[in-house]
Amino acid sequence: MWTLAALAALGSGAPYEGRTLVVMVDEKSFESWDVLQAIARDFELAHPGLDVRVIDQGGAVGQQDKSRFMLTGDLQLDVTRIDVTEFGAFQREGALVDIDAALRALPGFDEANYLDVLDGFRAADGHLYGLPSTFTPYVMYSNRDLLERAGLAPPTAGWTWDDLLDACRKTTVDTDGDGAIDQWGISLTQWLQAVVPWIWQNGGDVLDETLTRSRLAEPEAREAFRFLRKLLHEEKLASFDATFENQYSQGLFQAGRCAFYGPVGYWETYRFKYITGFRWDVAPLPRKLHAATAIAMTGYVVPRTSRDPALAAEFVAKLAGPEYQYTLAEIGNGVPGWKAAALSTSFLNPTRAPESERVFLDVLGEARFMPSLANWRKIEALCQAELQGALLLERYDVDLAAARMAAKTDAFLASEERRAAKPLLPSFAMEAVFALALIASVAAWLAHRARAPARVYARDERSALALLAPWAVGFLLFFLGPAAVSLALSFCAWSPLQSFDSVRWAGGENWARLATDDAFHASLVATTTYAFASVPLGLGLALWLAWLLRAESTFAVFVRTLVYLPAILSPVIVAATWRFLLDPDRGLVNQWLAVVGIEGPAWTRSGAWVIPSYVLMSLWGVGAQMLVFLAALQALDPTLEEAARVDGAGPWARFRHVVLPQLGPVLLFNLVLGLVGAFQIFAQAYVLTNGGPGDASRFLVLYLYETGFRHLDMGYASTLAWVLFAILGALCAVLVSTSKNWVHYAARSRG
Amino acid sequence: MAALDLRNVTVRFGEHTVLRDVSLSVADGEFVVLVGPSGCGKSTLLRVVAGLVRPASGEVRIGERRVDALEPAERDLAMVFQNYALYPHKTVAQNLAFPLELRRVPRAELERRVRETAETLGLSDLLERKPGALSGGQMQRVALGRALIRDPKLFLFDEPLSNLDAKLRHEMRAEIARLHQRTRVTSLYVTHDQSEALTLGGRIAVLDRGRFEQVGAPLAVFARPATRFVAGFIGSPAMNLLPGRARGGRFEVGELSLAAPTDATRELVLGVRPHEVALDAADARDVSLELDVTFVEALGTQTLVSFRLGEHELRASLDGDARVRIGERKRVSLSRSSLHWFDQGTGLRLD
Amino acid sequence: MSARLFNRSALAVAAVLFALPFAFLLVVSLAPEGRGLEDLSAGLVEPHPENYRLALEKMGGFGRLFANTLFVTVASIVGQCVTCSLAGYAFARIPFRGRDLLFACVLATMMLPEQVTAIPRFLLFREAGLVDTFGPLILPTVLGGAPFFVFLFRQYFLSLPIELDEAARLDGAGHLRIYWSIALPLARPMLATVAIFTFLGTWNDFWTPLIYLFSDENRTLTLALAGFQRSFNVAVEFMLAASAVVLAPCVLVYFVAQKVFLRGVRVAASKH
Repeated sequence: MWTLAALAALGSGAPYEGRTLVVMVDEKSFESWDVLQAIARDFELAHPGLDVRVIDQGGAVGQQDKSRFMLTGDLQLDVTRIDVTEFGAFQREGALVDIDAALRALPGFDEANYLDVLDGFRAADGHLYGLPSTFTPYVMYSNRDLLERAGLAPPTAGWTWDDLLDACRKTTVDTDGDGAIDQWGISLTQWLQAVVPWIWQNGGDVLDETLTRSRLAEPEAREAFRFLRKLLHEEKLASFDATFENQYSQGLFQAGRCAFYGPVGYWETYRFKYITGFRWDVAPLPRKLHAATAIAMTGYVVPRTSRDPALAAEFVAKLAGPEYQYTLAEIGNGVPGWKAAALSTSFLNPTRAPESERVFLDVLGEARFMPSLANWRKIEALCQAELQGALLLERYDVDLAAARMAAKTDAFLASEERRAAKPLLPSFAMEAVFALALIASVAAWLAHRARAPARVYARDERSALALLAPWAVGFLLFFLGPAAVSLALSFCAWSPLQSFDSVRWAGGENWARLATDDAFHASLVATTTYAFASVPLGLGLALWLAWLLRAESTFAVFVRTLVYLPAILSPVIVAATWRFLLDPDRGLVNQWLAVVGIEGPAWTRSGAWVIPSYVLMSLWGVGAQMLVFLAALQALDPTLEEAARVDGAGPWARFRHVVLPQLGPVLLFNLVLGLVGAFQIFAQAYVLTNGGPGDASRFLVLYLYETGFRHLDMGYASTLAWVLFAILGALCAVLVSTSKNWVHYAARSRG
Repeated sequence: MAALDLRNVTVRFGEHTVLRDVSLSVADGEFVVLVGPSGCGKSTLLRVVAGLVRPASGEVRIGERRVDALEPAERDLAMVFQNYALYPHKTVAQNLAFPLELRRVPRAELERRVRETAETLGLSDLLERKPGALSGGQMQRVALGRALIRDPKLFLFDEPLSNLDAKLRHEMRAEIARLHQRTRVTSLYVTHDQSEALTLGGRIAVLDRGRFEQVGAPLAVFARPATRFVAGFIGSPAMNLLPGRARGGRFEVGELSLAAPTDATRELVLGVRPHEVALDAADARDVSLELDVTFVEALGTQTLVSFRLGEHELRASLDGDARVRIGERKRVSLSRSSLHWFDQGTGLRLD
Repeated sequence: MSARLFNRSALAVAAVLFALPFAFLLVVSLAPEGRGLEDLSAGLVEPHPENYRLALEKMGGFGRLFANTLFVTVASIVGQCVTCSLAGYAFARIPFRGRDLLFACVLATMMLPEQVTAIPRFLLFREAGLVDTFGPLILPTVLGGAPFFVFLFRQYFLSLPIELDEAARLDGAGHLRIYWSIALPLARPMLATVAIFTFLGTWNDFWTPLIYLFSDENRTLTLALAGFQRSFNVAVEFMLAASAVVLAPCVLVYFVAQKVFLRGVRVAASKH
C-alpha cells in the first residue's frame, strides 16, 4: 500500500510532495478514531505526496486548551473541531480562515446536502467558516412506563407548558409512603443553554438583535424563570438533580425515578443505552407562545495557523461528508450534519432506543443557536450565579436577579467594545519585556552584590555561581522572564487566540476591575474558605495520625502505608474516584450514611457542600504531612517525655506541653507548604465541578484559568495570577515573622 | 617546611569582630599552641591560616609566600579536626588516599604511602573499615594519618583531642608530640585545655576576646603571666587573684596586709599560685596570718584547701597527706618571691 | 489499656477509610460495562478482568505510552537531582555575596502558580522549536524546576558537618569535587526523596504533556487517561481500570523506596 502510494507519487511528479495537513478533530479513545485514520489515508492517496497528520484532541477536559495553545504558538493546525458557541470568539478574533470560496469551488458542494444547521458557522457577512460535525437540539426525555402508570400519553409535538405541569403533578409521588417524595415529575437541567429555550418559547430572548443589550430583565424572560420556579419550588415537582456545570448527571432518570428529564441533548442516549428496567423516549420541548429549542453543535473549521487553507477546506468537506458522518451516526455521537446520513438507518436505527429518534430532526425548524458573540461563554459565566439563585434558592427575588444578569451582561458587552478600541503595542513589546526583565534582574543582583562587603574569596564566588548556573538559567528563563511578561500582560488586553504581536495596552483597567468583579470576590471567598478549613483540619489529622503511628509496630507500618498511598495519586484520579463516591444518589458515601439513617447531602452538587467535599478530598491526601510529622516525632528526644511522665503528666498533657512545643518548626513547614498548596487548588475542581454549583467552587486558579483560556482575557487572568502571588507572599511573610514568637514561646514553655 | 607569619589580621562576622589586629610569627619547625576559652577566636585564626575564612584585613605568609589570595589546597597545609571530619562513606584507606588522589599521585606510590602511614599510626588492620566502625581514638589516628600522608609544610590542629576520654587524650598527646619530634613540621595547635598547651607547646599563645594576651615558652608564661587573664587561665588549680587597694606602700585585702610594689594609691590585683601557699612555715621573708578553713578537697596526690580571706577565698595546694578540717583555723604563709602583681584597670603585670 | 484499645480501633477505622476509595476503584474497574456504579457487588460477584485489556486498547499503544512516560520521568529525575543538589550545595556551603537575595528568589518561585508562566513559557519553547518534543517537559525540571527541592537539599547539606568540606578543601578538592565526592554520596536519602517526589509529579502530570505534545508517538500515559475523563463514550469501568494501571507504578515505587524515602523526609523535617 505504502509503496504503491510512493510509486504513484513519483509517477505523477507528486504534486503535493512536502505538504502536510495537521488535523485535530477527534479523540483517540473514541470508536471513530480508526475511521478517521482511514479517511486521512484515503485523502493522502487522492493527493499524492501529501502527509495528513491526525492528532489527538487530548480528551474532553483538555481540547480547548490544546487548540488555544497551538493558535497562540502559531503552530500549524489545518483542521480542528470547535463548539459552535466558540465560533463567534474564534471568528471575531481573526482565528479562523474564511473558507467560503474554497468550499464552493469544490466539485459537488451544495448547501442542500446538509441539514439546516450551517448558520452556526456562518459569519455576519454570510460567509461559511466551517461545516457541521454532529449536533443536537435540546429535547425532553421521558419515562414511558411512569407516564403510562399515571394514565398519561407520551408527549407529542405541540404539547404545552400546561401539559408538562399537569403531567408532572400526576407523576410526582411518594411511592413508599414515608412522607418524602421519591418520584419526581421532572429532573430539570438548569445551565443557561438549557434555560434559554424556555425564554424563547415565551417570546423573549437573551440579547437584542444588535447583540449589544441583554433582554433577560424583560417580562418574557422573567415569566419563564417564574415557570421554572413553579416547577422547582412552588409545586415541588422537579428535583435538583442536574446542576449548572455538571451536565452529566442523569442519575435520577437512569434510576427510573422521574418522568421527564431535560431540556437536554442527544448525548444522553449514549448513556441511557444501559437502561434495562423501563422504556424511555424523547419528545420536543413543550411550547408556550412559540415552539423553540436550542442547538448544541460542533463543527470543522480551518484555523488561521493553517499552512494550506484550500486543501484544509477540502478536508473539512470530507469530514462533514458522507464517509465520516455515517460512522459518527452509527456510533451515536450526535445528529450528523450530512442530511443523507441523518435520514439513513445509520442514525434512525429502529433497533436502538429511543423510538422517536426522528424528533431530533423534526424540531430543527424551531431550533436556534445561541447568539453568535465574541464571548458567549463569558456571558454564560456572568449569569450563572444569579441564574442559579433565581432557580435553586427557595427565596429569591427573580426580578432582581434578572436585572442583575442583564446589567452584568450589558456592562461586559460595553467593556468588550472598549477593549477593541485600545491602542496596539509594538509587536516586539513582550519580547522586550522578557529581555529587559532578564537584564534588569541580573543588573540588580550585581548591584546588590557590589554593595555587600567583600568578606568572601572571589574563587568561592566563582564556584558558587558555576554550581548555581543550571538553576539560575532555569530561574531566569522559566520563572522570572515569564513572570515579568505576565506582569506586563496584567496591564494589557490580549486574547490567546491572537498571536503575541497584537497585544493592546489597557492601563490599570484590569487592576481596577478587581474591586467590582463579583466572580473574583466569590473565588476569593471560596479559595480562602477552602484553605482555612482544609489546612488546619489536615494538619490536625496528620498530627493525630502521626502521633498514633509513631511506634514501629507491624500494624503501625501497615496503617502508615495505607494512609500515605492516596497522597501519591494524581489529582485527576483522586477527583475521578471521589466523583463517584460522592454522587448524591448512587455514591457509596450517601448509601452508607443512609444505612445509619442519615440523609447525605448533595456534596459536589450543592453550593453549601461543595467546599466541604473538597476539604474531605484534601483530608484523604493528608499522608504526606503525616509522614513529615512522623519523622519529626521520631527524632524527638525521648528523655523530655520521660521526665514529664515521671512528673506525673498524662498523655494529653505530655502531648500538649512536651511534644507540641518541640514541633514548632515542623508545624511551620507543613503550614506554609499546606497553605501554598491549598491556595493553588486547581486540578480537582477543574475535573470535578468546573467551578460550580454557581460560583461556589470557582477557586482562584480555576477562575484565572477560565478567564485566560475560556473567556480569552489573558490580561485580566495575569492580574489575577499576581493577586494570588501577592496573597501567598503576604501570608508566608506573616507566618514566618510571627513564627519567631511561637517558636520562642515553645522553647520557654518547655523549660 | 616553612615559617608562618600573621600580620595585623582582623576578622569580622557581620557586626561582630572576632579577631582584632592579631599578629603572630611561628618559626620553621616550631610547635605553637593557641589556647584560650571558647569563643576567643582561636579556631577562626586557624581557619584564616587554612584559607577557609577570609580576613577583613591583614596578611598571612607561609614561608616566603604571601598566601591571602590562595586556595586552601594551594597553601600546602593539613588540618586535624575536633570531630575528625572523616568521610563517612569512604574506608580508612580511601580516606587516607583522598588527598593524594586529588594531587594525582601515581597509584603505586599512593598505595605505598597509604601503607606506610597506616603502619606509622598502627592502622594497618583497619584499612578496609569505614569510620562508623572505628573507636574515637582510631578515628583520630586516621585523621592524623590523612594530614601526615601529604607531607605538608604546616600542620593545623583544631582541638583534636577534646572528643576523647582522659586516658586516650594523654596517649594521643604523647603521640602528637612524638610525631612532631620526628617530622619537625611547623605546627599550630588550638586547644582550650591549658594543661595540653603547657605540655605540647614549644611556645604558647594565649588568646582572649580576639587578642593575644601573651605569647611565649610555656614555663615562661606560667612563671610570669603577662596579664591578669593569663594568670587566671594558665595553671591548674588556677592562681588566686585577690583584688585590693595599695595605699602608702601597703596592700590590703581582707586580713592580709603586705608591702605593696608601689607607693602610689592604686587598685591592684595580687596573684598567688595555690602551691605557693604553705601551712605553718615561718620564714622571715614570708607573709603569714591565721585564716579559717572553709572547704577541703582531698585529691589523693594533693589536697586543695580553701580559706576565707575577707570577702574573698584563698586556695592552697597542699600535700596529699595534709590533715585539715573544715572550720579549723590555720596559720598560712606566702613566699614574697612568688607574688604576682597586676593593675586592676588594665589587667597588665606591674613588673 | 483502654486508651491503647481506643488508639488501635481509631487506627483501624482510619486504615479502612483511607483504603476505601482504592477498594472502590478496584471493584468498579472489574464490574461489567455500565453496571459498576449501579451495583457495587457486580465487580466482586462477576469480575471482568478483561476491562483492563479493553481499557488499555482504548488508550492505544500502551507500550509506547509507557516508554514515553518513563523516559520523561527518568530524565526529569536525573535532571532534578543534579541541578537542585548543585544549587542546594552552593546555597548551603559556599559563602558568596548576594546569597540571601538569590535564596529568597528560590522561595518566591514556590508561590508562583504554574498558570502564570504557562503562556510566555510556551512561546519561549516555540521559539526554540521544542514544541511537540519532550524538551518542554524535561528542561524546566532539569534547569532547577522545583524550588522546593533546592530548599530541601540546602537543608540537608546544612545538616552535614562543615568540617567535612573544610577537610576536603585542605586535601585539595574544589567545590565541585567536594560536591561530587563528599556531599552527594552523603545525600543519598535526600536524593531518594527528591527522586520519588519528582517521579510522582512527572508521572502524574497532565497539563504540560497536554499543551506541548501533539504527535501520536509522543503521547504520555496521563494524556491518554485524560482522554477518558468526562468523555461521553467511555464507560466508568474502563476509566477506572485505566486509572488503576496508571497509578500502579506509583504504588510500586513507593513500596520499593519507602525506607530511604522516610529517612529523607526525616532529615527534611528535623533540620528545618
